[in-house]
Amino acid sequence: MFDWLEPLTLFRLDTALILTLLVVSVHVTFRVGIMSLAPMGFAAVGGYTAAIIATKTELPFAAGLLAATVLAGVIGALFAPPVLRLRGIYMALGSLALAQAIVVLIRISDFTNGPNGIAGIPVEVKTEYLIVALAVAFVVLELGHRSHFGRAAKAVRLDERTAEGLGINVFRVRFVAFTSAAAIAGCAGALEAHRTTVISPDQYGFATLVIVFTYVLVGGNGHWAGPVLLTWGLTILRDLLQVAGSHWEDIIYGVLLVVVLLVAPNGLSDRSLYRGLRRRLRGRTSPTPPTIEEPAEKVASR
Amino acid sequence: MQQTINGLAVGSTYALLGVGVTLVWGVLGILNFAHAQILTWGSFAALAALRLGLPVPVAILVGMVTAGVLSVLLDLFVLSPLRARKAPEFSFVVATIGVALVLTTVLRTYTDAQTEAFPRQGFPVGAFEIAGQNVPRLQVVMLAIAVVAMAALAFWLNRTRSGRAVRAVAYNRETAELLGVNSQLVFSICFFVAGALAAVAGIFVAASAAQVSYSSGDGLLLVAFAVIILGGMGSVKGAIIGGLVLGVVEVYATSYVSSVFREIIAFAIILAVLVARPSGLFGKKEAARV
Repeated sequence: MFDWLEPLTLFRLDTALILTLLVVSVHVTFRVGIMSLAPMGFAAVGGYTAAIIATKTELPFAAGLLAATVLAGVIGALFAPPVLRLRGIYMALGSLALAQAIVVLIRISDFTNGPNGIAGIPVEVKTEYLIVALAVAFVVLELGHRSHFGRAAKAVRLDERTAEGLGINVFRVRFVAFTSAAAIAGCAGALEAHRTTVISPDQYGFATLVIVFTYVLVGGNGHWAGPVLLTWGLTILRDLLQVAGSHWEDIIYGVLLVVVLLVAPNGLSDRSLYRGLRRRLRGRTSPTPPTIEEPAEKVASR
Repeated sequence: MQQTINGLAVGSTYALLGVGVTLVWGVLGILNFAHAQILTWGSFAALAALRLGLPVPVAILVGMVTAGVLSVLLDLFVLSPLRARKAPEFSFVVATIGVALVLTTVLRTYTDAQTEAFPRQGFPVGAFEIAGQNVPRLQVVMLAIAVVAMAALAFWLNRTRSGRAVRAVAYNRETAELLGVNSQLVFSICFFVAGALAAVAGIFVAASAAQVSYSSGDGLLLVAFAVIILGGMGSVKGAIIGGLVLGVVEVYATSYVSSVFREIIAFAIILAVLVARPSGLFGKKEAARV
């Protein structure tokens, strides 16, 4: 269906779509306030599972994909209880340790072909599959966003104790988010393996993590459309700029990440960013901070 | 016995790394993911100095200053504005990851991803023979430096005015500022010291391996974190002991189990400690987990 596009453009398109899937995975964990650096580890699990199944067994591609997603989800579920108990920086470190441990295990094991990676994975993934997969993901995301779970997730992110006090099972919300994010990352890894036909342990390092995090953080926590649209926009921008070679891209992404964090620590879809802008557009003067003399109703109606 | 000594030797590098990182964590509550790259830059600066013909102690100093200044710049231009905006915790982590990526890429481009040879002359190389065991000289010097650094830090923090300022800021930043302490200066000093200490570790590692590349530091990053998690975040004593323990465990694991496990040890320790006793051996019991 997409044969009218050049192969290179098609490849870029597929890469962008797979990247979107990874962005979705990270976004899900961010929605509930989990600072997990583990997605690359799960993507590695997914990629290698699919690769091994494809190259060493006769099972069809769909089986490999399913196995990859499920295995990544299972590993996520296994490590969720200890990792989710941690908070803040400890969680970041713990998840990073988990991801790196997975990658190192892959690198030193024989049956994953060690540091050489696996090549010759059959190209099974067509663009249509990716679009379908993403469409399904978006539907599920939107349903989740509008459901009780979506609201519970937001509550957990904003204030855990209050959420707990309101009767939300915080652990269950985080567990579901973490595990499904792991499964999605595994699926993305598997799809990528089948698209690029070669995988090695080194590709699951910091570089992709930074890119994905840039998109997720810049896109913001409010709605999944933020990071997704941003991913598409920036990918197109990057192709248009034709910044050849990986050096400048990495530097630009690193700088962009830092700059965005400085300007908008909560992401670009954070309403408070635009508050000043909206006020000015509506013609009001910038608000003075509420003083102790003003009654509460007057402040609220400003 | 020989293995224990080897382990202590390896551990002394880790200890020195840990001391720097724990200082920054204890005072600022920040884990600097760019730490490894900063120390690699320090090693390269020392390499450049050595190539210019400068004597070894001067080259080490050059490396220390470079890494220290780089750390301070990171704090001034990236972390301090984030603090001013009261950014959420993960912003700091991600920001330092972003900076690490930039530093790595610049270094990789500059060195064309080649591994450079690091000259060994002037460094204490070779080994002592103590009670029949082979004790590598370089590591003994490093351990000595680590211990001296710890003692100096303890003296500085406990007996000097500026050290008191650091402790005040670590305890409660706003109160310290109200009392007239320049917290930004305190942060800068801590970052400088952390960077300088890490550079020393990096330089000695480069000397013992006789080479250095843009990715030399990467393996050390998680080791540094493992050290401070094991020893307790915020405790200098814990960092030293944690580093030594980690070194010994690593050496024993590789010799008795399998050499492939060397890299896993750090991660395994991080995970195990975080699950069982997040405050580590000597750390304060903070709300690390529910």
